[in-house]
Amino acid sequence: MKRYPLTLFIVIGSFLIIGPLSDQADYSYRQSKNFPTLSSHKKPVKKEKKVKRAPASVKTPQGQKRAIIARGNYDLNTLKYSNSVNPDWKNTYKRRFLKMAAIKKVQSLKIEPIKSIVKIKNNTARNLEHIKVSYLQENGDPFSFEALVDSETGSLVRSWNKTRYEFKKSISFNPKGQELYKE
Amino acid sequence: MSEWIRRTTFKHTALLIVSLVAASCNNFTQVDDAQSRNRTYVSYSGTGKGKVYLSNPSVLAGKYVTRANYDDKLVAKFITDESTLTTPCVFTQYSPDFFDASVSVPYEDTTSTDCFNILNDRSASTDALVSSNNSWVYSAGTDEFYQVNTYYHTKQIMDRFLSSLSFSHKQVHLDGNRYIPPATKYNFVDTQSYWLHENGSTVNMDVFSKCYLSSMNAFFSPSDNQLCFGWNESDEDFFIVQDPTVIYHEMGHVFVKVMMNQRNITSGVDPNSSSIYYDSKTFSSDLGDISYDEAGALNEGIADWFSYYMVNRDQIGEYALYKLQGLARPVSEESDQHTISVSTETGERLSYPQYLQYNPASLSENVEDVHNAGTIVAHYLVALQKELKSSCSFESTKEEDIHAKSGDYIMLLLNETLAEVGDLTAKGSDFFSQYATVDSDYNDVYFTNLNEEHSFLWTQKVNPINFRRFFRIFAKNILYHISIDLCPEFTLDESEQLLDEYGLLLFNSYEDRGNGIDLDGNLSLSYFSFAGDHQLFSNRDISPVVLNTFVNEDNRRNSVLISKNQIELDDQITAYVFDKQTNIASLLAQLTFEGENVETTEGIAGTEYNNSNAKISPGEVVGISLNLYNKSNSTMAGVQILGNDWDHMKLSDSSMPYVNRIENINGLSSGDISGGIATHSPCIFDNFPKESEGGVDPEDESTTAAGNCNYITKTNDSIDTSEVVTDTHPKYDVDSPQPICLVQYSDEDETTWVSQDFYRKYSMGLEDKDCINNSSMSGNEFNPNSCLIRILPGAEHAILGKIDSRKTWAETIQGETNNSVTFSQSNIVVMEVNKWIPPGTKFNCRFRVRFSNCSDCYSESATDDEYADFEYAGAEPFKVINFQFEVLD
Repeated sequence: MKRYPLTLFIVIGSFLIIGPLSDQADYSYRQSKNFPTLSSHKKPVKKEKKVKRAPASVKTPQGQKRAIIARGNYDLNTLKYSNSVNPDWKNTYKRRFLKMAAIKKVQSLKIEPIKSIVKIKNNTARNLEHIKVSYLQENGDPFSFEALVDSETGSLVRSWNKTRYEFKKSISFNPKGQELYKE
Repeated sequence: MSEWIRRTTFKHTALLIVSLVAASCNNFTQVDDAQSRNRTYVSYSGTGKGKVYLSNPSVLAGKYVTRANYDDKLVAKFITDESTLTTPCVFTQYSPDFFDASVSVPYEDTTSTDCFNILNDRSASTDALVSSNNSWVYSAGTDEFYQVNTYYHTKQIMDRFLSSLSFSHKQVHLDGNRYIPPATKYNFVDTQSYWLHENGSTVNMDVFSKCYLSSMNAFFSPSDNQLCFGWNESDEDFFIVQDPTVIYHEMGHVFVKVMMNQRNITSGVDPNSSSIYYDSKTFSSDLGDISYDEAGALNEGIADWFSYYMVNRDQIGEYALYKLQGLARPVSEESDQHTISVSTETGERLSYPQYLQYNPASLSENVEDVHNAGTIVAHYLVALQKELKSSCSFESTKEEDIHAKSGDYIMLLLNETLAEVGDLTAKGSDFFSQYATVDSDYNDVYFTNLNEEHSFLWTQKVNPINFRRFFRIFAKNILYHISIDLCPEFTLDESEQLLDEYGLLLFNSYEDRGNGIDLDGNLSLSYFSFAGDHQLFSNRDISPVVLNTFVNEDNRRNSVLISKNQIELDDQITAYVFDKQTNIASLLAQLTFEGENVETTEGIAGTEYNNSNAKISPGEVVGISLNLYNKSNSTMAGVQILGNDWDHMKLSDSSMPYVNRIENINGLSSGDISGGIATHSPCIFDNFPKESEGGVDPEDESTTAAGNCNYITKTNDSIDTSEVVTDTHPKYDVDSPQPICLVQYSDEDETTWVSQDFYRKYSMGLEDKDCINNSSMSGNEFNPNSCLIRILPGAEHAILGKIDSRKTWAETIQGETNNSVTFSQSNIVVMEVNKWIPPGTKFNCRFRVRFSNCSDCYSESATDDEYADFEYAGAEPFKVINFQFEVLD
């Protein structure tokens, strides 16, 4: 019984905080730690049962801050999610990244979460993670970049701020014998 | 000994004498380096001074040297009163006086944290150097000495840059004519965007003066906010920081980053809620990719100019580059470091595209390298500054004052240009920002980089900053900020002639009326639509022109423009196919580790299927370099090959928009959603595919309406995932960009070109799970139109530096001396091939190709007006190259 007033207080309080933020017609960024509690997550799609993906998708933990990037009108009460948050997203990304480590060595890999994001467009939200990746290359020299990765699949969406070496050697390919002749 | 060294030596000797006299006047005693630190330290205690080299060892010695010798070359200079080598940044911003808007009032802003600090090396245990009794004097050659010197030169250029930025801001916003809306941030102080940012706050950049690297090198890491000046044990006495021009060059990269991203932080008032608004973009613009491209060459050229801005000499790196390569790097035709015959005479400048691969230290090799190509940029910028020095009126007649003021002018031009091309808000100016103007009518107004949703894609991939785009905007800024404002003596004709001397007059129109769009109604906009007062700009207005200014064709003598129809696939070898397992695996590893998304579809395609037969086989991941032939009589340059999705397919029925995937099929059969599964037909471009082969002819469409082949998407929106009824039901936007590869389909009656989704469904019966990039990888973004062949998003564009007349790129590199030809990652796109494709299946991939000196890739031939940003989602600005191949075992 004692829980009811507290719950009521949280709901009303959340509405007072979030209410004015809804129905925005611009591309904005805000922090709202209460935001996820009122959001509706999509159910896992049927397909997911068939694919081999170890961790189950879960709702964004209550109280977790996710920055909102929004374009167009949206309503937090009716927001739809095109993906959910996989609590193991970081390891999923790491596994994807290190798939190539057998070919080329990397050392001291560090994947540093910078912030969690909800990107909203047309009242549909996508959970993303802003990360910084840094490591030592085979020759011991450092390299780093920033990236957005999908919070569910751990796939890389875009990257930027890559280390700019003054002198860099590129991989080269010998074209001899690689010609594709016109039919 | 060359003249510059004689002059510099004299200047520095004089400075040394003055400095010694000044020191003695202030009761300081200059102490010899050889003497103990204690005695020196006592002499300078309380002064905040240290002993520094004002230039590199070659300039100090008056000849090219390979060993640093500072005997009698050091001078005492104020370093800092702080206890460590660290400093906040100070920026002066002018604003109109409250009572009299015609008067500008300065406001000095200081970053709340330090903006850079010096450390010896990258080791976690490295502590900041601490001054003792406020003295920074250390014996020459010690680590401490180099830290102090690195601080001194970094601070010198930082202060100079911020001073120029302040001038630029005041000029374009307050003192200038405002015929074009300024791209420079209006409120640097509120946004703190005069320095590097992270999550909306300025950062403290670490500068390492003795940064261990495997080979002598330097780097700028914008994600770690670090500058690393190399050193290693192979030559323990060689520190990159011994050459201050290298410090200035690297700082140039930092300033490029700052200028490009100044508009990506917004402050103001939200017109919809009337609340204070602040937005810092999560991601940022870069000038150049990791591998070769013209944006990277611009970055290097601008960084070289920053060295000239500081030292006013015709070459840079007289010590470090001379030591590494045997020559300094020239930034002017007047340098004695050239190994070819160039001069400032008409027709003898270092021009584009002829000298794109010019490396004075290695003439025999044709190497595509950003430094080589950037040399043209640096030469042009230096030549322009010299022209301004000789033609403009300045308050002072002193050479150093004139150099400084003309340097401010160039900085203004660079800042305006980089602010516009790097703008991820896609506004192009604060005059079109709803938050700066507090006007919600501006919510959907965009003047650069398409729109806020796709601005990153546009500025980095689809319409990246090549020489043509950069110098068109740069020239527009010369016209409005120099020729009809700061320096009328430097006329528009002279500007065009100088650009042309460098082969950089690559455009027809200055596009000075603007070319924007209001997505709220899809209205085309010009700057003139926004003439008048703006509340947040203290009632200062912009007075834009109504019509575009066009280039005087009499001034175009060296800059050759070529029609896009002059590029085509070679008629014998259409491409080079790289499918060796180890090579492609290495390429994928390299790209992955550089942060590119080149992940392949596990179990459907992968390098384990690669068979090294130089054919495109089921399951393989292959590198493709199109063998493009230049059939014109001139060299074409900056050839860009795009393999990303674009608007080239027609949604057959707009009432049936759902992506062909199991959730939608189930949803339609259960009645959760209504409509139908989408099918797409290819639009006809350059008569392919014919109507009889399934093509839709835009000419046959009676109206230009959304969904038609004659209509280009205004938003580049792709798959809409907003419909959720139990499951998400993704559907295509009516003009969604589509993957580039079509498949040939034959039935009893005809042979047609169809979408991959159609083929996998009706010819192969392939399920979603057997598609490339299926939903286990891509979630709701899964597009079955790339079920069979997919260009990997992290390797979907390629660059060929230049192609000589009547040659292919490989023949160009080979040259007349039969150089060996190698391809690098910048020349190659990578595709994955579904393992279920039956051998014998034919594909046609519609790559889009353009080049920088193209006459009809950037503007409409009828009007010479530039294409609007959205048109880069279509075919018009490109030559569509139909790359056909058969999948073979």
